[in-house]
Amino acid sequence: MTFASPELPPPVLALRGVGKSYGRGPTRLCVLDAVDFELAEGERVAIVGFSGSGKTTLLSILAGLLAPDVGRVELDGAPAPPAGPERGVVFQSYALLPWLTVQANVQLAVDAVHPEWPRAERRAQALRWITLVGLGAARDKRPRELSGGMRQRVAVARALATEPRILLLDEPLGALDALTRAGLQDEIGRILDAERRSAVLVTNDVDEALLLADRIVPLSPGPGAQLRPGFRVGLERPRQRAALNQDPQFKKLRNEVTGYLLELAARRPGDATGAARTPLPDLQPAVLR
Amino acid sequence: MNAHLEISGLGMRFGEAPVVEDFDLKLARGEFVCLIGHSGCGKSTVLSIVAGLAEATSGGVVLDGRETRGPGPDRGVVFQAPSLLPWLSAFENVKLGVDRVYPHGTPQQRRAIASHYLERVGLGDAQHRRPGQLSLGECQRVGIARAFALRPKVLLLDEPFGMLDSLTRMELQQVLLELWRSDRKTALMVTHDVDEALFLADRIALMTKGPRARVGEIVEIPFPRPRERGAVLEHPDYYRLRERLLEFLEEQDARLAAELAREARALAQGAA
Repeated sequence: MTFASPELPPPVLALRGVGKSYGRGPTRLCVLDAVDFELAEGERVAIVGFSGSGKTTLLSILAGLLAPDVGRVELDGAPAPPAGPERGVVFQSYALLPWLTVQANVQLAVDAVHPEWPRAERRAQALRWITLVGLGAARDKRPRELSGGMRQRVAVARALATEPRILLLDEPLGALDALTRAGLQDEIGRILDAERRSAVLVTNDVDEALLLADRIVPLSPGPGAQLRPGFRVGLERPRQRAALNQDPQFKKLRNEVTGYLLELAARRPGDATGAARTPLPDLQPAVLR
Repeated sequence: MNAHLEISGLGMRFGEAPVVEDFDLKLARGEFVCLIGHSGCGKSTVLSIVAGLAEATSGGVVLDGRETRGPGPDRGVVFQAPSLLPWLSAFENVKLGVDRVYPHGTPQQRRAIASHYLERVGLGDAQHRRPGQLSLGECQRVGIARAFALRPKVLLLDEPFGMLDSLTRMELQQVLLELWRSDRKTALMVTHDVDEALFLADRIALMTKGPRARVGEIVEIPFPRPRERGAVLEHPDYYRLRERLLEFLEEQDARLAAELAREARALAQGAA
């Protein structure tokens, strides 16, 4: 961990010795233990980890939706208030209101953050972002009339329409098929490039992290997960999926990050494979029929 | 090649739509072949026919010198969604199949077979948990254990890791590969994950997109076995092969997009 020199601005968002457990007594489960994290202005960090390692807990704490048991969250160097419009969140489960149209879902967020704007302006703002994620034609549809990929676009548009300083993405594409996923990754990449926002992306997909992030930070498998030293991703932007495949730096990083994660996985308790205590009886299947 | 599993001239129509046509593929004994192609191209249709779960409109499947008819325990299948009985434990789920396939064994032997394979997939301590108490990845481990425990002649895997996150997927690929290596099963696996195919397969059959989908190209994978992920990723041919596979898929994509655009235009003209 490097310490910022005094003349540098404090990180936009930081965690200092954050710990979080669920339950109490003998069933108490420590999810995060002494987690330190810093996000610089305009930086994009991907937190990569296994299912159940505490990624969502970590992101919820960053968002201010969940309070840590110990340690603290800092915004611009000062203790962070609970969730506010400076942090926009996109969840894996979309979290859209089913009875509202696409336009109304997005505008709801704009209305809440900018109640002082004239109505027409709030509408235009919502529509601008709906168009940017390619849903202009579907703006009067309700969530159930949309595919998974389209719903996730609505959630992205809603988070961006309030123009948060920090975008927090919790496995936003985890529920989508590979093809839709690739399309939306490219789109999120383009928006982030154009807007130069700070962002934290939680994912379990190394390629997604390499495509979108400046820095990849592995989360060690829980319980008691901790952030590991990160990998800096120096790949030039905009990053093209097809071109990356031929980039020696991409290959090297991809192998390094993947190798590191597998090494972490191998140390995970209770997951040993291969060894069988029970010997296999010498028996052939009966020929049925 | 003396084929262990031979799929020849396979065709499948749904009503008037020819989904698969003239599909040919031969697998040698103990060979691992991956079939890749886009969602909806008919990959799973081919696998279902080989499994005997669907009937081909034309062509046929020969396994070990005999034409297959209907499903049977000589072909073990692992599906994308865990197909476990929710009211039975992992052990009971595996043993259900074992009891049917080894009716001549003693109860003790049958229990040992189920336990043995559950231990091999790393579930030795979780055998008595029900599917609801297992993660999705663990449920798929049970599915793999069950498939191997029945000692089929051929393993048919239909995107078995498609619903798992990419890290769990890598772990399970390793589990599968280790079992495959020691049991030496002929295996046919459908996937759309290029890295998965490269890690597992001896050959990768690339399927053109439907209608009239068939094998467009076959790519030999030269990585030495036993394979270890790090070494495979470092192999000088890895990214060259990966690029070729991605290119093939992209070509199919572009063709699909052009076709959809054509259809949309036709619809718009019809409406006007």
